[in-house]
Amino acid sequence: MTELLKVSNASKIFHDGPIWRRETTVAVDNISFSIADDRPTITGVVGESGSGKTTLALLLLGYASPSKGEVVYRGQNLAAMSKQERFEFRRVVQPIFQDPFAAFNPFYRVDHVLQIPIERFGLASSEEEAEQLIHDALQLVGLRPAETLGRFPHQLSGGQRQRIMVARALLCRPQLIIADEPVSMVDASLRATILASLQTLNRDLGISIVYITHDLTTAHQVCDNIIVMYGGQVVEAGAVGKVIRDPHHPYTQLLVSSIPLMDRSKRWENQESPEPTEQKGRVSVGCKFAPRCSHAEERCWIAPPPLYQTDATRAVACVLYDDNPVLAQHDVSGVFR
Amino acid sequence: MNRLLRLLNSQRITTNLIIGLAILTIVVLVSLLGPLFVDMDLAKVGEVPPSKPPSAEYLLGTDSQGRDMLAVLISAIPQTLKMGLIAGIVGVSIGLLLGLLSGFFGGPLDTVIRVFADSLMTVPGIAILLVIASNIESMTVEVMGLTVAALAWMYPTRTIRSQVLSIRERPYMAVARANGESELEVLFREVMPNLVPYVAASLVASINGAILATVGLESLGLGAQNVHTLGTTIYWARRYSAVLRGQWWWWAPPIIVVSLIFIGLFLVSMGLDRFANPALSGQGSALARRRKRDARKDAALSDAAGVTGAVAGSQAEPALLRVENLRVVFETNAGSGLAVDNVSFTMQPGERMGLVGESGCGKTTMATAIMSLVRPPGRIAGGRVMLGETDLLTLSDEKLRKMRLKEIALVPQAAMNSLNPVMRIGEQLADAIRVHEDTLSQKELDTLIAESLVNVGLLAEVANRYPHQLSGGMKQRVTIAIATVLGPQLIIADEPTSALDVVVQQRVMLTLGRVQKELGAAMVLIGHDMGLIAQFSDTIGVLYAGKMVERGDIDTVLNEPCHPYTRLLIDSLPKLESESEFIGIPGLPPALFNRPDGCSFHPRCPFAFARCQTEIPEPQLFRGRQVACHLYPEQGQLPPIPVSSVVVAGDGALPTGIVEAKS
Repeated sequence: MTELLKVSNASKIFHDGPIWRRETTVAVDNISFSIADDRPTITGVVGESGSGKTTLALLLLGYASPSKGEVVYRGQNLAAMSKQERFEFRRVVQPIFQDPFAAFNPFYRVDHVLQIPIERFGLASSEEEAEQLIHDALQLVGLRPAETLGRFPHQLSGGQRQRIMVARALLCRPQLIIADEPVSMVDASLRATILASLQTLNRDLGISIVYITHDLTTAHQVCDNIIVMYGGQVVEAGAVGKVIRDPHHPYTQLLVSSIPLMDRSKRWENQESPEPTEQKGRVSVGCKFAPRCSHAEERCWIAPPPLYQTDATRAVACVLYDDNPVLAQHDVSGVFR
Repeated sequence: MNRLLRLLNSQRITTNLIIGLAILTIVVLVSLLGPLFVDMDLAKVGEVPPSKPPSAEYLLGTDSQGRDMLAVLISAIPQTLKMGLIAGIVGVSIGLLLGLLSGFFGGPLDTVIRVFADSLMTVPGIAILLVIASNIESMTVEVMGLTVAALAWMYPTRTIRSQVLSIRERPYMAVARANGESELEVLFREVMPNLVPYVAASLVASINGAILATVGLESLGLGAQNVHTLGTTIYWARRYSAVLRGQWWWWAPPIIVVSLIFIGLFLVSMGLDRFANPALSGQGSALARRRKRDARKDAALSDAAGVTGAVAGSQAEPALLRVENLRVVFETNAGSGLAVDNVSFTMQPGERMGLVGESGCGKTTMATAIMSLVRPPGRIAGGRVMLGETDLLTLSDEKLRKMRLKEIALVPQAAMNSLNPVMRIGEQLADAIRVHEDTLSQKELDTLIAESLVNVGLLAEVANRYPHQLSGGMKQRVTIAIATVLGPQLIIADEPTSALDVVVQQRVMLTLGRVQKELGAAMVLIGHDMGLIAQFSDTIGVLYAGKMVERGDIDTVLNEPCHPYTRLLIDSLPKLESESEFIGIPGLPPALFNRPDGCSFHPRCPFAFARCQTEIPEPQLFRGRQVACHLYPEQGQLPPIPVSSVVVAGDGALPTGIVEAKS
């Protein structure tokens, strides 16, 4: 299997505060996975705020470099790229951001963000061709060019704006799109349209997508594989249906049980309180979830558990599954379908 | 050109700007066209008879040195303006350059520039100017302008730098980089255009400052010696005791012109502020007058509506909250519309009512209206909000203030913004309590605070902490503690967990639910997540375009939604059980100022027929709930939604490409 983008034992450590009281935050802690080059996939990265998912996105985009480990694009370490190679990488790996309001420069019409990539990356040889490219991209994400172009950002809805952002990424002819919470600021009724356009890019145009979110239900809806993060570590990963419908790791179980379901027979208030008490003030140098885990054993606090491969398409970083083999090289793409 | 026209039509051009520009234009025209009508040689000493008051021959009189004051004034204005322009343009150019470098590139360069600028600012500029001016032999207006610029560039530098810093962090910078723009392109194409209003405002302020400072110096005799300026004219008047001699025509005109320039520039800079910040617009006086007039009209209307409302209300059992024909109008220069449109409903004590709808459907406005907290440009235009026997809308501000928290309490959406960052949690609780219970001793107060914190799952010590020391979930618990400490009868929770992670959301909601039950209070839970509403409500109200389109028991409505909008809201929530289809609602909620005729939902409704386009459906009882839709009662049940019209169409899109992609 060739890899489009490969993350190897990457960690990102931030230092903060004055020198005499330096605080160290490990935002991403030893993560390895890769995005396949031979087939388009949608990989979900889920976790709550502070789990390191946005930092991971920055590493994947090359906007930040890992403190340890490396990010490799087609066999080439991002840190060692020439200016020209980096420019090409910028085009091939495209971001979509969370806030569809702030992603537009209020000074310009929305056309601006669509024209620039064509101009900068030299994607069209004539004005007409550029216009055609823009029209095609907009239609592909379900927007009518006539109703979109020539407007200012504030004249469009959040859903429309976010789809323009998808069209923008699409124009760059990317192979990978890193979408960081692309629908969290959009009304539930409009989310479907954005997610559907992402899926179109994946299925019809063969673009791989990393979908970063805190929302398990939409991840379940669009992803092939999923990585669940907690405290910068991967706690569970594998095929999306398996992980979400039958979560193994206590944290994933907690996440799934926190989804507000429409099903009135499964009301939280009728169930026994799932509220695990925050244990002690103890800091875990092992599993980051130990302080909140009702299964925590002494060994959890001391060293982070390895990823155990419970079956072909799932790995869990939890000692409860230590009768399974350890996942090779800590690389969770080993259990992706 | 188009852009300019659009600008002129928008509300960003204000009276301030127009009046300011008009004043400045007049001053400039006088100085430019004056020489065509007045012999400028008369500004020289001894050309005319001295000390004549204004007359037909010498419009502004003559001074004791035999100069025609009108000619003096006309030759002085351009010199003063020139000085101001030099000082302003040079100062702001330096400021723009350094501010950009400092803010955009940051690092050591930023530190050097900032330290230099800040230390210069501590030096008293006027004093230095005084020293310099008194030591230069042949002072000219040019030198004066440059000197002022050299002493004032720090102010525009700081303004520009802080703007650049804030623009630099906006996500569209990252988008530009993803689009392949280099750093310099980002600087010139993305940052610079957004600075235009700030640069313009800085320029105006700098010119104004420079003119005021130099006129002051010149009137002390420290100005340019070779020409007339407004300041030197004042100096000569002072020197030759024009005031003592009662020759007001000598000193008054230059002072008036200086004032005019100052006022003109000041108005322009205020106008530019509005320009840079469109959010300031919409408070015109014409609007206020229109509002007053409409208020009288609406009062008459709501009296009429009150009659029907009372009839409807009399059939209901004793309710805790009775909202009758509530209307909230929003008015801006862009238009006006009903954000809450004749909504009536009742709530029983202890009832939890979920209020759902897309953004812009009036949920939050409805909540603020129930608390009588609607702020301009919104206004309650009619109806009643009866809490027990009291109509909240008729109460005085003082009485309302006493009611809030004690009878009705709000759990706000963004806890981080609703707590005061510089007050300890305990003090904020104490403040809230004291408004209503001023007889408590400090000890009783402390006990009450501790109890209320523990009650929402926090430690009593949290009272001594500041908001920034708490997590988002803890802050939201604090707001619940504040909202419930006085045992209100009605709690309004406006998307109380929308900023929280799912796990924290669940726990906070469980706490809120428990506290509400213990109090026996009723609760309005506003949200757009149908799942959360299903989890925590007894009844549900669905709002669309300010109207309550469906209202009933939660199980009744969820099991068999009758209004097509309710049905689509439910369907658009992804299900976990199966690999579900993407279902969105085609189109968007209508804009407040542009509601369609007939049923507001008809342009997006898969079942709409002719009648829906013309006739507004009235709420009717149907299968145990209230629904406002023309499908009933003829239609026994909502048919399956035609897939082609719903799946992923959204925003007036072309669904075909994407629907095909799904299969």
